[in-house]
Amino acid sequence: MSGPAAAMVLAAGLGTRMRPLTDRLPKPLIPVAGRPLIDRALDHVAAAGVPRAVVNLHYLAPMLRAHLAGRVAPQVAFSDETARLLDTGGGVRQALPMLGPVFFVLNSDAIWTGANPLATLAAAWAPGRMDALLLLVGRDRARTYTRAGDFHLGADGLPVRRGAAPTAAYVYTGAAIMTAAAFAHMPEGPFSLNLPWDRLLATGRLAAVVHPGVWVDVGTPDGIAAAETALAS
Amino acid sequence: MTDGARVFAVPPGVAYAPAFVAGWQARFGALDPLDRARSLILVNSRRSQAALEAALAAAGLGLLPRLVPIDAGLEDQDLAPAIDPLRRQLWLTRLVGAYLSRTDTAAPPAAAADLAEALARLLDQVQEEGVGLARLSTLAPDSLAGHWQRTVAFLDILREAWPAILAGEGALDPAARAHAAVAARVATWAADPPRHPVVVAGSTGSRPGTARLIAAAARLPQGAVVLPGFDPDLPAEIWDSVGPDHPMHPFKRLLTALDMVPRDVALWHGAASSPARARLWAEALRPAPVTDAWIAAADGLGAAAPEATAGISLIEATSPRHEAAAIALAMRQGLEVPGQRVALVTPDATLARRVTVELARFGIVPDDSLGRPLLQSPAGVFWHLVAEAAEPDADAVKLAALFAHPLACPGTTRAEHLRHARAYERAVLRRGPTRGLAPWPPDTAERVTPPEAVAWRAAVATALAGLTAAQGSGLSARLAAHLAAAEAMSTPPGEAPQVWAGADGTALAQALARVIQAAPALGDAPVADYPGLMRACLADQTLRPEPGRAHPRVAIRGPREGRIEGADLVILGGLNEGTWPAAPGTDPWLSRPMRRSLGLEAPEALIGLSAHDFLLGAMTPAVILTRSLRAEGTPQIAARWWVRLVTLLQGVAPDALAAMRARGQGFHDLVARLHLPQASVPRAPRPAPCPPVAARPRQLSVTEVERLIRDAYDIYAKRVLRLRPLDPLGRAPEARDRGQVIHAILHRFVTVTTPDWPDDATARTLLLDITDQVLAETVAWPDLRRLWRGRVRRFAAFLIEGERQRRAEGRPAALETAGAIILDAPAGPFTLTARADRIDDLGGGTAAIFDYKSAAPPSAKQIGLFAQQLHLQGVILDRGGFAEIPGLRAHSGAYIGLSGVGSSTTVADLGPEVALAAERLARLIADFDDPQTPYLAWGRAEKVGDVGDYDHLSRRAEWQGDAE
Repeated sequence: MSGPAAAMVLAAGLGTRMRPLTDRLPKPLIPVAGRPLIDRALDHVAAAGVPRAVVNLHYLAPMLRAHLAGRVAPQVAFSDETARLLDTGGGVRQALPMLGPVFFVLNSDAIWTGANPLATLAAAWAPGRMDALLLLVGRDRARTYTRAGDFHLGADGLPVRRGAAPTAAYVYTGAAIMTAAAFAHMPEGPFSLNLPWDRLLATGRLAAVVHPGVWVDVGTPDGIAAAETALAS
Repeated sequence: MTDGARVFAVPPGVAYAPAFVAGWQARFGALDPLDRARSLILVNSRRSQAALEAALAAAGLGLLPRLVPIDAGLEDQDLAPAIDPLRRQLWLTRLVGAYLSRTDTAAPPAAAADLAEALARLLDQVQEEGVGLARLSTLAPDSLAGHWQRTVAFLDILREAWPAILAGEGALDPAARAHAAVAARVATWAADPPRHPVVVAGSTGSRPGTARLIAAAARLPQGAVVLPGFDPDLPAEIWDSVGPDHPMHPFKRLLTALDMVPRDVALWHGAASSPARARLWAEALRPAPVTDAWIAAADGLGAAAPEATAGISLIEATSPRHEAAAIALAMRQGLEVPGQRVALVTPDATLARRVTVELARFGIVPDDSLGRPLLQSPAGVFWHLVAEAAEPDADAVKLAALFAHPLACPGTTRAEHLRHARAYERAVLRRGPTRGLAPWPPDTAERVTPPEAVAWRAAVATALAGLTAAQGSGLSARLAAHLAAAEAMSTPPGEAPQVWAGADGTALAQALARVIQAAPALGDAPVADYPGLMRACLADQTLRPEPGRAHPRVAIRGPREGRIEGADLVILGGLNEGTWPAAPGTDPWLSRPMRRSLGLEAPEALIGLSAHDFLLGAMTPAVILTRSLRAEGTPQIAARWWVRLVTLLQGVAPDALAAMRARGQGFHDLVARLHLPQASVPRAPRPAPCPPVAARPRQLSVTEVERLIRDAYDIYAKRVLRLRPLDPLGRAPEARDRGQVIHAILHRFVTVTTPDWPDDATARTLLLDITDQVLAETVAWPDLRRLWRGRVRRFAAFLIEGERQRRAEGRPAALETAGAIILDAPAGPFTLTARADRIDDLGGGTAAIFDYKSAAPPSAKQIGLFAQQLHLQGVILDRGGFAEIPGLRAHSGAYIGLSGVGSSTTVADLGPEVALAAERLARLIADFDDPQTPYLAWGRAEKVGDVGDYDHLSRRAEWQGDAE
């Protein structure tokens, strides 16, 4: 199995939803139950046995850089977006020279409990069937999540966009495996990860697996309290 | 014209994109803007789409119509996806491999990949024609030769197995999918014809599926087809006899389906560019038989030739390098015209790369759509070297190549890595043949391997171990191990693996992601030739130059891209048979009659497409045709179109032909001027260093004295500069080793027979037994043991005959014995040393000195001049320098040559000559004790062919030929 040897941790967001907490602190450094979000994300990476991580930087970049300076497991490299925010897809594309052919993509603003999200992904990764594998969670297990959901799961296990439906049963948790090939022929500059996913959806090469634990979107100050509760239980 | 099918043409020589836009504007410009935006233009490729979009936007038409590549235009159909071509290739490789291993065929297992590629092409063709593999069973096997029967049997298996595999994949063959999509689209159009304009642009309709779609589009209420490079004025008699290799053949299928002839096709916009040029090419490329038609047309053609050929130049270069240089000069000159765009059109990627290099002379980076092969980029080369170095029997060259690659740094800094790699190369890789990553040699008193170096080798071993261990695994596991090895071999401390850094690394990662995806299709069986398979998987990946660096008016394009993207000056390069047109590939799966009975096109149809590409370029008002007379030392045959043009013009307008050649020759002559040096560079002088006497050696061996006479520079480099030549990587056994082995055999043989010389037969048996013993002890290579044993057998009779005489005259007294004497010299005592092969006691205080040669012995003429070994050993002997045998004097001697059947040169009067040699030696030493005496390089070279270890250091090639 050609499992990923590197992880892309998305940490460049402005954190506007988290104001005022993020006025002086980049969102990934906000502590939840005493441990900063970015460290929690990197802990998952290390626990899954992935040796390398790439963290992209934009907002308050020097603080993040200094915070991660001493980290050895995983080994951390930085992808600098201080000149220009590249959005999720553009951020990954810029970091491709550090990632290799197959890699994890992980948001730094979510809390997963239960099984290691990366281990769940790695176990379900089947080269030949997919160019991206998304970790989803049932809406009922997504804490502080109030939006409509992102995907249905078809009978064949393949994800389908919510589309015009009022709600969808599954939410993207911010963890995925992707291949470098998924980023061929992408536009210059910023673009969302939704762009490569939509292309893969059209050819049946986007797959999904469901996270068996609980997931908390720490996008807002309320989310932190919910996350701390989830971690305590 | 039937059922109102609307077929238009942009004739050859008219730039397609602007003409298309002008015609579009004339016909649909008056439409309501929203209707205009609703209309659909289907184009032949993504590149054409971009070119037409740019042209439409430049025309300022406001809302643009939808431009969609034909393939993508069918994507909205509800069909299963097409299988990834690489994945299909691996599936087929697996099936063919299984077939080859089960049947008794001539093809080796490694041929599976190539056969699978041909099979994939066959599947495409069969499905494009809509034939289906089922028709194969209609081939009557009995009428076929045995090997064709076997392939039909295999294709039968494929017919049953392949659909099941595709069903498991949930995918369709690309051609079958396209076929189905076209059928569905045609049906939709028939049921509910779109009201908005539908125009097909840039496609010739040469492929069956496309032809069906185009034919349907041409009959839509607002449908139209705009053929690229089609000439409606083509005479009917030519059209009727157009064969598969004619430039208009690609249109034949479409027009026949529409029941049309050329004159039914209307011009889309404006007029043809040059009727005279069009007429010339139509005649030149007329289908055979041609000559009678040429004779009939001669007068008209001759009169029009100056006009028709005015813009054409012919360059016939002496070599591909010259061709590239001439092209680059023509491109550079073309840029002098303000705003003029120049393009090289060629299918030859090597020529394109050469021209790119030549253009660098002018600081021009062309927009090269052919690109550079990924496998030749640094990351691609590194990837391949890692695979080769991890093979269990990797030789020294492969390891050294990996270590020297700029990306290599296995967990250390690059500088550290290079330091250890160079030490390892000297200590291990240049010490003898190695297999795999041999350990450092054991520590000795003089040489201790530092712990960092040991750790470095361990890091390399760890990096490669996984891949080496994966030898017996399937492709997926092997790839995973290969990725890990490449990353570990290229990771400096605390950084990301360098193999993915850079544009080539990213492209490699993307290509490998595809291979990883496709790999499971090959199954878990061990891969026979993993590096070869890897190369095949990545072979068609190319790297485009970085956007923004390319010159906006200089392009290099493949022939097909020239169809839509024109230029003001077009250069058609590489016009030799085999290059352009490419040789039609043979189909290993079906014979020509079998193909015909399945309704498949002849392989020459590809030549027709090439001819069409060529014609489009050749009709450009300003065009240069180039070819090279030779390539890699082999004479080349000009492209058939070139031959036709030249033959025709030779007959009807030799002056026009001469003018075309003269225009091209101008560029070719300039090439020589490019390489003229601006100032004459003086020859390097023959080195004659004069080091101070204190730095000169105070001891030389007898062989070194000989060397000093011939090539003093050798002694200077070795004894003053103290430089030693490096052994080659993975040193193979050579003459020096053979000499040592033969000396060892002789030593043992003479030792054993000294007390008692046996009869000849016993001596011979003894000699051969000893030979076997020595070879077994000292030579590791079985093939060499047999070879060298054969050599000993050849000279055995000669040796034994001579030995019998020598024993009659004397008795071996000392073998391989060391001697030394100290001589008085102007700069102080000087030591002469020697190791004598053998000295025999002749009785009466006299001795004979023998020297064994594993090559031919020196001739009588050479002895005393160049060959002084025996004489100098005699000097040492006479002065009691051989401690083992004091008190003997030199009497005679011989060089015993042990090559071929054997021969020897005797020096009967060695005794008296020794005194002379001693005088000469004293003079030589005195000379070199003078600081004015230079160590001249090859001062007394005996033959021009003599080579020395330090010739490169003395820059011999630069001064040789100097007057003595």
